[in-house]
Amino acid sequence: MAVIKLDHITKIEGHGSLIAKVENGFVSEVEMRAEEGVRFFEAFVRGRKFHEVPILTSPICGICSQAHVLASISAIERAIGVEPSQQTKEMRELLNIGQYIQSHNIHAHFLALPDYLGYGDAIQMMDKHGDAVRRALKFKRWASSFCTLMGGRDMHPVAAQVGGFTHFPDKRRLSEMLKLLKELRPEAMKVAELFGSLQYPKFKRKKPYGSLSADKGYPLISGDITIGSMTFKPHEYKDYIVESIKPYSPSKYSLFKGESYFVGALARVNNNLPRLSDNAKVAISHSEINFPNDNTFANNFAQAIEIVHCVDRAIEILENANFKKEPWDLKKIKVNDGRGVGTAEAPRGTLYHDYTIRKGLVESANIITPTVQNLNCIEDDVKAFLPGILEKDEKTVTMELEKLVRAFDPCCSCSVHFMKI
Amino acid sequence: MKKKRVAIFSLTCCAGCQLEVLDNPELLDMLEHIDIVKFPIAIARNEPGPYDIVFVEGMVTTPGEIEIVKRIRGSARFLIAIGACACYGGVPTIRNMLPQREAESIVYGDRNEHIRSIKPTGVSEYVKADYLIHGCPINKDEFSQVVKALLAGKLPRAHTHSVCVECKAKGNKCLFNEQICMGPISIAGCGATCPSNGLACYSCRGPKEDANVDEFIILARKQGYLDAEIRGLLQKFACTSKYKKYLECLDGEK
Repeated sequence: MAVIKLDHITKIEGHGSLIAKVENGFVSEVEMRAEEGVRFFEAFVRGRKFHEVPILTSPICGICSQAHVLASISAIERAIGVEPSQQTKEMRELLNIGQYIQSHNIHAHFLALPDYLGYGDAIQMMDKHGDAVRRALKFKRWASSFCTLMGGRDMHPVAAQVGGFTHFPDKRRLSEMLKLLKELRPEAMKVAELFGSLQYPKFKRKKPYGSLSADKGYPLISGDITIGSMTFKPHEYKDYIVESIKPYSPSKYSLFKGESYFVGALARVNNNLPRLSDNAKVAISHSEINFPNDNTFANNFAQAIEIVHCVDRAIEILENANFKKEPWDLKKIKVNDGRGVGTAEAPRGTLYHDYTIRKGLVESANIITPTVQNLNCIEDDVKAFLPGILEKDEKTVTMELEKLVRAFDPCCSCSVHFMKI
Repeated sequence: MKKKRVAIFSLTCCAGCQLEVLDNPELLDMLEHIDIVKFPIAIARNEPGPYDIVFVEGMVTTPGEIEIVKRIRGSARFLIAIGACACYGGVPTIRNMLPQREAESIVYGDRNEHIRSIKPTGVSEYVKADYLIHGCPINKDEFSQVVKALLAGKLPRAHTHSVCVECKAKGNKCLFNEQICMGPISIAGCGATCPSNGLACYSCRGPKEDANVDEFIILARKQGYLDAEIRGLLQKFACTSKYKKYLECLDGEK
């Protein structure tokens, strides 16, 4: 029996390791382990005031902190009976888009791309692929400034709160950001072109794809949930998604009706293809990669497509935006008892926050992160993919497996947050 | 001049501080003077010590992590804690205040024998840190200043003033009476980000050295806050800092 071990995989968020056991050319066991310590978020938010939850749950993740803030705010508002204004919804959508452009850009260029160009990291790529790296840096700078403008800080945003925003972007800064974004639009098409033409490993495995779904618009914050061919409401998630614990990892692993499933850009594009922006559709048509697609590696291209879509959507909102000061006053928020489930599509997949509030305090909490939902899928994908590359040398096998794990854009910190009674 | 050998270690955390380093606009300039040989989120290189400078993000919350920080200390000339988790354990230290039995019954139930978890703390619980860069996340400018000081061969000077000073310097409206701001007792270095965006400081950076927490409690009580609420204010990102002794006194409803 041979054991293939990828210990503390680099260029993923958090600490993850992969172990695969191979007997007679057959993959008998695969373990995708998060190697983090447990942080017990759902335990320590108990007894906290309802308005503290976004600040306390934002640090579940550094790269998708905006998603945690938006999902927790949505859940708390549903629990206590607060309806955000239309302007607040638009500002939250912009904050989310800023996060997408930041996160997808970092993952695509800095974490994934080096593998396909034969480098250890993006900095080493500067000589021969300076254009791609400099383009990535331009997007990163824009996204970081935009997230700071909309959220008060580029990570762990503070301006977005239950009930509204504590700060409103300066009109002149907004038009500057809009102008810069319009200049970046053709660059986004180049990013899509790059990722649409990379030589991805040939791989195909049918699986259910999970994401938000809606009749109008490409949903990134709210909507129904679609997994495979089923659609349900967010508050029904426990009827469909079951989390379990495995002895080899402190993270949770979830299944959809007993089956592993995929969440992330590929799932969103597969499920919501007609609702992408026109330019995003054009970018897809220029590539040989089609959607719906069952090749996990196409998730990298799907992220590039979403960068194009998000640029278009942000320009659309910003061109018509006229944000007025809507003062936020914690004391004026009327707080009922109740339970609420909030969602957000984090860049790497559907995120659920579920809170029960009693007398203004958190009575109980449950959080399901995208990577918890993808861990079983990683294991099943590796089981299907590995036999086809076993005859290659060890270095190649390692590299191809790392590419597969990285294609999920896993967030190991997110997957280990939990508490279980 | 030979480049300084720098490693970035990541313990249990959200990896946000690593991302702040990656996102630092001066990173490429820094790379002319430092050779980063370990930076898990960004590069494949993973070289062993000795190191000139090690930045550690994340809290110590497993037995394995205690061994890691001890090993790092032995191989680093300078060990710099980056972020609230590495400084004081971060937001999960909220649960440290629970009596151990109560914490176990909530979080472990009757399963999870394979979870080896200890009360989270910053790295200083186990090894001497040469400098703490506070905040959740760290501030990019502050990180740059620390790197520059280290390249000049010295430790940076720690801030002695509070977030209030930075807030006043920006001409912000004071939020102390509206939202009970923790700026007066929190260590400076963030540029008063939160009050500048209309939200009272919640002390993600922890207390300044001679923070007058006693007076903060008196003023909070005058504003009508119950002791349980004041405990909640101090019990966030820096529960293992000097806030700890106040958390123990403020136990129980009043």
